[in-house]
Amino acid sequence: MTLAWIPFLQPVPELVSLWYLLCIPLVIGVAMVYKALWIPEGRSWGQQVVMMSVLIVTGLAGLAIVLGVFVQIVIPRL
Amino acid sequence: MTSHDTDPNVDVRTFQPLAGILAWVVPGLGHYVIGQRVRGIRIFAGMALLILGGLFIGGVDAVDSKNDNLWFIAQACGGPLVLGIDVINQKYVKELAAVDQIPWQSFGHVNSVGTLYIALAGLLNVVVILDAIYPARRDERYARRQGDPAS
Repeated sequence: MTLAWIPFLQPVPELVSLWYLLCIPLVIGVAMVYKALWIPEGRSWGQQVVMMSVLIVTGLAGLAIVLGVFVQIVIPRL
Repeated sequence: MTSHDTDPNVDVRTFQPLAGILAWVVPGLGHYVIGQRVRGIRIFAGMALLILGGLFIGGVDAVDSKNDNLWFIAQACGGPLVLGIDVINQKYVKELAAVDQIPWQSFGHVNSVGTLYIALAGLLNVVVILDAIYPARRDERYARRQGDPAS
């Protein structure tokens, strides 16, 4: 089935276990469009996109750690 | 707008309905035709990443007006390309026998993430369309916030 995979028409195979990493290109895409609208055309768009992407991914990872600790450690002790 | 980045022959303050339509047809094209060419190219690049990324991950099953109709409302704002993907899904993939549909269908997280990519692209394109219809003097506001008196 993998050999017959047609990109962009059929779903990418073998990606289920790494689904959480797919938030990175999603965040980059959102940052690209948001900063394109907000930043003046002469300004450093790429730098702003990288900064916004890193901030969002860091925030998501932090939130995941907090929720993970809550679900795995705090709730079982209640 | 700052003087160096916008075509001076185009009045960006007026109501621009054609730019809004073009922004839906091809994300970024609305800004391109009102003279904000760099901004239009940047928007196009971001939207292409989201839409093609969603298709790459979830395939054509990431756009499904029958089973994911609320998501499809958001996705449809992404332009005719998304509508075309749904036509392919409904007219060709869904017409296949159940066994033949399996390689075309995405499940679980892969389907969710692919759907989310294209839905977010559509929702962002709503903002892009509104910005193209009413091109605000955003750059001047940005410069004031940054304390840049030259702009």
